Amino acid sequence: MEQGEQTMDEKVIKPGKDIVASMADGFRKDLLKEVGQGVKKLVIDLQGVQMVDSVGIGVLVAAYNSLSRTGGTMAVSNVCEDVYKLFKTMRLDQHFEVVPAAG
Amino acid sequence: MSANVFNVSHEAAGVDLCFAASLENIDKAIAETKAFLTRIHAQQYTFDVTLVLREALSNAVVDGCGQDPKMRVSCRLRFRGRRLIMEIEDPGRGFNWRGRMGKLPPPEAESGRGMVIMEHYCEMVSYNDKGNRLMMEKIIRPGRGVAPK
Repeated sequence: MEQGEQTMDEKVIKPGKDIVASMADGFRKDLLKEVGQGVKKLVIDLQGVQMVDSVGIGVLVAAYNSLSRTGGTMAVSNVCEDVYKLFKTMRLDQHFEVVPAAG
Repeated sequence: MSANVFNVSHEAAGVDLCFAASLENIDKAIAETKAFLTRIHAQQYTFDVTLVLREALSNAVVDGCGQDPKMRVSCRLRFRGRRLIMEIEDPGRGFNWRGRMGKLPPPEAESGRGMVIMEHYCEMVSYNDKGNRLMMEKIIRPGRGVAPK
């Protein structure tokens, strides 16, 4: 997992690989660690991510739920077309900001 | 090591997989599925097919087998006519699938979306009575256009 540009208030996380069951436990710990350190806005950059399964969706929702309890916000950016359609179908865009990849 | 058991059998219009119940083996099964879709010129369905298979295999490995590597999950893919038929079976106790189908959980739920995903991306999803064998069907038009839905 790569950690991108960040300030005291905002942190960008780039998993850099598909968010699926086999990597979910480690990714969940990484995200919840950031939440525990008091980040105000968490941006998860999905550049290079081609697949997010329901376990991966659960990890994203868990991070959002934890953030919202401390008044934080979350966005998922650079979402490829297939995953974007999946997130819309699951109505995740009603929960946190989902930004499609350009082009 | 039983956790590493992963058997592949290639058929004329399909592939049979049987593997130890581990999350890592789901990734191997997906790699075999991608190769099969390439073989039948249906790469444009890769996202839809591998997504529903990930859901089905995760349920089998985690819920059906409790990630016990001594237990085996089988996955049978067949391409017949215009249909891709996917059969997934585990040796577990099954579950009450009747009360779970067609229900999208609330947005804050951290689980429970797998069956909705399978129903959305497949034309047909059905279980045996016990709930430990799943059959999914998806219409495939090899080499043509883009996936429906």
